[in-house]
Amino acid sequence: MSVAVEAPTRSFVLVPLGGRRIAFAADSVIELTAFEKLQSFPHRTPWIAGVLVRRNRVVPVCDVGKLFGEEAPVTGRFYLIAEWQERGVRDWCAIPVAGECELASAESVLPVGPVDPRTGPRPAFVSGLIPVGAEEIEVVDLSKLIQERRVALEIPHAEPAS
Amino acid sequence: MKIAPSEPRQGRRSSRSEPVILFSIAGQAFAINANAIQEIRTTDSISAAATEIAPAGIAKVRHRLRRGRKFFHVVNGCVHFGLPMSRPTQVVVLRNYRIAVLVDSIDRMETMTFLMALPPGFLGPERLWYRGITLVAENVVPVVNPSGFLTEQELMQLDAAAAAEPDVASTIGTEGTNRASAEQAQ
Repeated sequence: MSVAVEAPTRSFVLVPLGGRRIAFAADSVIELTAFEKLQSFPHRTPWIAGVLVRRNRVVPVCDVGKLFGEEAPVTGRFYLIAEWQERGVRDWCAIPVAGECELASAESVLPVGPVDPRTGPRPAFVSGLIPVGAEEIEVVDLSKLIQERRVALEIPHAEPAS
Repeated sequence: MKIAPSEPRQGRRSSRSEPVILFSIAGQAFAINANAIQEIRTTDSISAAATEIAPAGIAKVRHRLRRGRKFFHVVNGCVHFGLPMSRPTQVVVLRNYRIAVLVDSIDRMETMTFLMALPPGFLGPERLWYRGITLVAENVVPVVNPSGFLTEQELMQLDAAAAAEPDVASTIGTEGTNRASAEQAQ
């Protein structure tokens, strides 16, 4: 007797960003929240545009242009709040989103090479591709993206505030 | 998507209340522990005690302030925080540090009931500038770290420049504050 086994599927949140869409693993997404007033205070972390207060936490809001390199407004209709981590320290990052987000499932994440044949070198924070309709959407590893930006700006690793 | 916990994680938020002074620089509000302040004076009332110093390579310090036998390095808050230049009217003299800060205005005193940690995503010198973040009337207000206005290296550099001046040389060292013990006192 044979048993049919369903291939495990993974869920992704598809986010419009500039002229394209990117995907985040759904388990890294905390929530999608309505746009609210961005608050700010002096700092020198280039990709942080301001902060929100959500669930008793201060959540940095990223500057999409500086973090993702996309031409996109700092403000949006929603904030997608995603979790990232480095060296065991977890933090949330709010990403302004101007369009509709979608939830998609994929049975497999296609591996990516270091070079995209159409656009050239592929950044290390792209952890794979998922097929959605006729599109192949890049899956972004937010933790690697932030680490990459830190290295690019030669910002040393900061210990968490006590 | 998952549902985030509604309770803050342990260690991210301190709920001990403390008195803070709210002040503004270039329209930006800040808070500082009231016990970290020795005195607050207007710039006009204290101008006679201040002397302009030769540039020591630290753009945010242009004056030294004498209070009794002590000298304080005067930090321009606008330059320190990278804010647009404004016209400071108050000098906040810090207790336990040889630092005074030029600010635009003192707003009021409040009781801070919680302090949220600066998120790890902040990676720059702001990690030294702030102890954390609090909310005042639903507005995010950074709580400054008194020892964050000048690094040990900057203090040494300023002290070295000051030591060349006879009236200051006698007080540097004897009046210098051990930063570690000062931080313990906060």
